[in-house]
Amino acid sequence: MAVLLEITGLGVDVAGLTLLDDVSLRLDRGGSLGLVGESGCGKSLTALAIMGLSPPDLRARGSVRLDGADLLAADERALCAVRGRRVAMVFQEPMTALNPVKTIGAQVAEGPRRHLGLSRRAAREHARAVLHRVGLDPSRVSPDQYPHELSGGQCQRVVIAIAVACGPALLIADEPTTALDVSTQARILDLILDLVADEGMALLMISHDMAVIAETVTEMAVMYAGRIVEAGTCRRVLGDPRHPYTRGLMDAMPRGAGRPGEPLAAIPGTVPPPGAWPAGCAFRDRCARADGVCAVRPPLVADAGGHAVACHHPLGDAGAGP
Amino acid sequence: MVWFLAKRMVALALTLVAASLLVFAVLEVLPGDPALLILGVNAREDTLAALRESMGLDQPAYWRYLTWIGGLLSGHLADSLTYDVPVSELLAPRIAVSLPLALMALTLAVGLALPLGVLAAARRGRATDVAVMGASQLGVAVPNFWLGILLILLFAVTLRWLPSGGFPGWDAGVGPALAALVMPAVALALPQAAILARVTRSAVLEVLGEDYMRTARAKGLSRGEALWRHGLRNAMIPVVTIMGLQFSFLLAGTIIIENVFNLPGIGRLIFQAIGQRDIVVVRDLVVLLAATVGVVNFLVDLSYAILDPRLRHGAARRVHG
Repeated sequence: MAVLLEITGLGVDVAGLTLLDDVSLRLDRGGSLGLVGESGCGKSLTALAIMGLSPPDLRARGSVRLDGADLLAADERALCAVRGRRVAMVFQEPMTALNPVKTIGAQVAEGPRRHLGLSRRAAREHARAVLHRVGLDPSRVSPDQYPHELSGGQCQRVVIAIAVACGPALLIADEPTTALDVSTQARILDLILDLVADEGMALLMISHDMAVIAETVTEMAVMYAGRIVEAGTCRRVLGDPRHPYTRGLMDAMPRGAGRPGEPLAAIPGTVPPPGAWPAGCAFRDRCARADGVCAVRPPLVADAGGHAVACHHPLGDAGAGP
Repeated sequence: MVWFLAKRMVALALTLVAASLLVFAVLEVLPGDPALLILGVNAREDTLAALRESMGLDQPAYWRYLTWIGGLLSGHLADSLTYDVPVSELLAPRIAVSLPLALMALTLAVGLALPLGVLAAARRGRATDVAVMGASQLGVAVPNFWLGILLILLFAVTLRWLPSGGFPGWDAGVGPALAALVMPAVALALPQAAILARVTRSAVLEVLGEDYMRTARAKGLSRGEALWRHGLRNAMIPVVTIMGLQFSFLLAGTIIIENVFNLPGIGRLIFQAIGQRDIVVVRDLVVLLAATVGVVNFLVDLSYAILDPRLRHGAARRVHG
């Protein structure tokens, strides 16, 4: 399949601090990729850097190529033509992602009116159809309603409608279900998968939740402290995790089989803030397998199957264990 | 929406009752006998008593209050103690000065403050922002009467472009009348514009950080378009609040400014009436000013409902998981 998005050596710095370092990702047209990691590991920043919407005092380096054109080198005008048209994004907090003083129909119609050159009336009709497509039947939820009249799940459907209204080639979903209650989460994920399959969009799913990643994408990358520590197909990464951090994330998932009252497994410590990341492997302070060699930054090395890991002592590697 | 408006109307009526009671009570306990004021200190006691009786001053306080309010409601205002004509006759020509002055000042303040505040926010931290904020700092610090005197010195005394004070009346033509109001309006407006520009800037800055602005940008709107289409209406809600509050200060400011510029308006009338213990004029004017402020606040509440659909539907924002 043709490459849609190719991120090479993406780094983001603010005032001398490195927030994102040497992130390289590849996403085929119509493919799906998950980014997983704890809060503050740089997942959302990667998404915003792709959109060219990272805060203005941040500096990005490397390249983000969409269909071969480098978005980091593009000017604001060109980026405006890409945002919402070629790349669209679904955000974490549906209640605040919508403008409280505009009707949902107007908020969905804005993109098509701009990118598809539709008249005001045609854009309104289009918005109505898109809202219907995402499960907001106009006979039950009118496009003339305001966000505060809708539930969180309905608001997220509106946010999704805004994102898919112009038929983008890439949909970035940044923790799209984190703010929703559990029963709504599954329905929203189903909707996203359904739309992605129908429209042939590529999906970049960002989540801290391994289960969400496992259900929605075929390839994944695990991020820690602004770097990718493990990447590959979900089958390989989840079936045979090599990085101790990936293993830790999987162990931390609550399991249905656990006995009530049994403490959940947790990775010791917390993600250090940028600037406090240890040199070498950033995970070594929290890692049981770390030793002296971990003070040297481990390179991200892929095996023949494309399963890449950045660790001096990967799991399942009998020879190298301490 | 109807319920929202009805509640505001009731609040307005209650405010006016409270204001009228307060001004009546204050004038009641202040020293100064109107009859003595009219007849002079050498008047004979029986003449004074006769005058008090004819003015109704011998009646109990509640009765005088009700008579006054009844007169206000029926439009029959009592005679001024010093001018000897009904207060309504004093009001009309003075409103013709003060109302245009207030409107000019308000228009000027809003017209200056909103664009400058938005501009400063959009160019945060850059030269434009620093210049606008520096100027507004100065504007906040300068008292309006002093600014008025400076304006007179520059434009009337030195440059001789505008009259230094007084009002030729609307009969003299719109041009000369407006020319007489320009400097007072500027003196009133600039300090207000300074505050309003700061409020606008911070409101816009706050809105710029909102999630829905990021959503708007993610749709492909440029920074300016996102601000114009999604930011401004949200930013206007706190700005309108401050505008409403400022209106009261504008009214208070006219009392001073009309004296500085020697304008025959409401502000000067109330100033003189207080000096002359003309309690009939004072109490009517205070209620008039309170009513004006009340009506403005009502309009502010109304504009909230227009700006923010969450208020329009009369329901508190629903919170879902």
